[in-house]
Amino acid sequence: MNTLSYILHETWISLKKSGAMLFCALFIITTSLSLLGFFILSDNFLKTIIKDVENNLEIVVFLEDGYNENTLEQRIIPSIKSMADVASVRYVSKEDAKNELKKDVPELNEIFSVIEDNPLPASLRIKVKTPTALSTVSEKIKKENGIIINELTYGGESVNNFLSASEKFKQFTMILLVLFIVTSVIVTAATIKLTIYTRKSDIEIMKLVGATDWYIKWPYIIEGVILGVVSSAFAMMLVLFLKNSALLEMAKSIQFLNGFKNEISLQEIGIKLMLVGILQGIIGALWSTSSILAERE
Amino acid sequence: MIEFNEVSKVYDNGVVALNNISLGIEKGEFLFLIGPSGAGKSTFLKMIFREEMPTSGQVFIDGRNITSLSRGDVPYLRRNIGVVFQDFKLLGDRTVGENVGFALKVMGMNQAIITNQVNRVLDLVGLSTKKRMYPSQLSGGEKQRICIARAIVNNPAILVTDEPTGNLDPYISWEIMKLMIDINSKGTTVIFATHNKELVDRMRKRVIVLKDGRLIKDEPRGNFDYDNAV
Repeated sequence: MNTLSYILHETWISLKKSGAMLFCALFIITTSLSLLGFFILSDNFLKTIIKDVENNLEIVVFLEDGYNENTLEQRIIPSIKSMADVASVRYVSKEDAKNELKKDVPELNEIFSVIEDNPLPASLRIKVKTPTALSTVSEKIKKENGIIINELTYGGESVNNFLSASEKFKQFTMILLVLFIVTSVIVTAATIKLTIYTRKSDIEIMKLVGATDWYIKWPYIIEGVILGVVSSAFAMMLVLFLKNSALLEMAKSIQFLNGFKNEISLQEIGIKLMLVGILQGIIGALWSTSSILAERE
Repeated sequence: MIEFNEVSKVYDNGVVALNNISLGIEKGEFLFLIGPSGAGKSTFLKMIFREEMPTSGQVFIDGRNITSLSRGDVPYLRRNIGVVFQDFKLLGDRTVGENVGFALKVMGMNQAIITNQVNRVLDLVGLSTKKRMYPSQLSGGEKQRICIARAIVNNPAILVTDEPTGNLDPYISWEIMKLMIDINSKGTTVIFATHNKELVDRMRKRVIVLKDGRLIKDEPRGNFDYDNAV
C-alpha cells in the first residue's frame, strides 16, 4: 500500500514536473496515433470494397431452353449444393430473369411489352464460400450430366487477377501497418526519453538513497500509460471527426459506402489505438529509464 | 568494516583516478580524506557506495566484496550508506520533510515511521522548524544540514561525505563538523573528504592523503599536510 501510494504520488509529481515536454509528448503521440487511426480507417475502407466485390462474385450457369425441370430440381441443384465449396444455389427461371431485368432497367418495360417471347435464359446463380473456389466449382459443374449448359461465367481471368491483387494488397497493408506501429513506438519512446532526461538529477538522487530500478521506473511507466490513454482519446476524436464528416459526405454519393459506414467498428479502432498508445508509453518509459539508469550504474 | 584491496581505477579517457590503493577502515572510525583536486578523493568515495567500479582490485564492506554485487543488490547496499555532497543534491520541488523522508519512502516504510524518523533527525540537525520549507528558502548551511539529515535518517552504518563544507563559511563549517562528530559518536563510521585545513588540524583524527590517485599518507592522528607527504 505504501509502495502503491508512493508510486502514484511520484507519478503525479513527475507529470507536474514534465510541463512543456509533456505537452510535446502528448502532441507527438496524438499525431502518430491519429495517423495510425486514419490508416486503419483507410485499410478498412479498402477491405470493404474488396469484400463487397468478392461477395458479389458468383457463377452463373445459363440453361438452354428445353431443359428437364425435374432433373434440375431433384438431381442437379442438390448435387451442386453438396459440393464442399458451394455456399448457395439459386434457380432463376426465365420469368424471374425477365422481372429482375425489368426491375434493374425500367426503360426495358416498353420493349418487353412488345416482345412476345422471353429471350432471357433460365439460370443457376451459384455463390461459393471462397472466391478462389470459383474456377474449380465451375469446372465441376461443366462435368455435371443431365443439363444443357448454354454458357457458364464467373469472370474468368479478370476475377483471378482481382483476387490475387487483393490478396497482395492485404499482405502489403499488413506490412505497412506493422512498420507504422514500430515507427510510431520509436518516435514516442524517443519523446518520452526527452521528458525523462529533464528529470535525470531526480533519478540520480533516488538511486543514491537506495531506490531499486523498478521503484524508479514504475512512476514513469504509469506516466507513459496515462500519456498513451490520453493521446489515443484525442486521436480517436480526430478519427471520429474524419469518419463523421468526410466519409459520410462521400457515402451520400457512393452507394456501397453506406455499407462501409455501418460495418466499420469504431470500438475496434479505439481499442487498437489505445493499446498501441499504452504500448508506446510503456516502451518509451522503459527504454528511457533503463538507459538513464544504465548511465548511473 | 571497509577494505580496499589493491584498488585501481582508470577512466575511459586514460585518467588514472586511483592507483593500487589498499587500506582498511574500522567500524565507528572517523576518517579525513584529503588531497589536491583531482587526487582521486571523489572516486575513492564513489567506490564505497558503488557509484564507480574499480578497474582492478576489490572493495569489501563487512567482508562482502561489493565489486561483485549484482545490479539488483546495489540499492540494498546504498540503504546502509549515507552520502552527503558539496552540492547538496536536494529535490527542489519537495519540502525539507519530504526530502529527508525520501530515503525511507523508497524503502517502503510506513508514513508513521517516516514522520517519526524525520522529526528525530531534523531535531538532531537543528532544523525541525523548517520542515515545511522548500530548499530554495534555506541558506547553504541549512541545505547541507538537510542533506546530512537525509543521509542519516535510516541510521546507516557508514556516512560518506564529499566536501560537505566546501561552500560554507568557517562558523557553519564547524557546526557541520560538530554534527558529524555527534553522528560518529553514535557508532556510525564517517569518511569525510575535505579541503578544509582548519577542521582537519583541529580534530586530529585519522587522515588519509591521496595524490595523483596514490595513497601517500595514512596517519592515525594526522594533520592537513599533503604538500610534504611522500
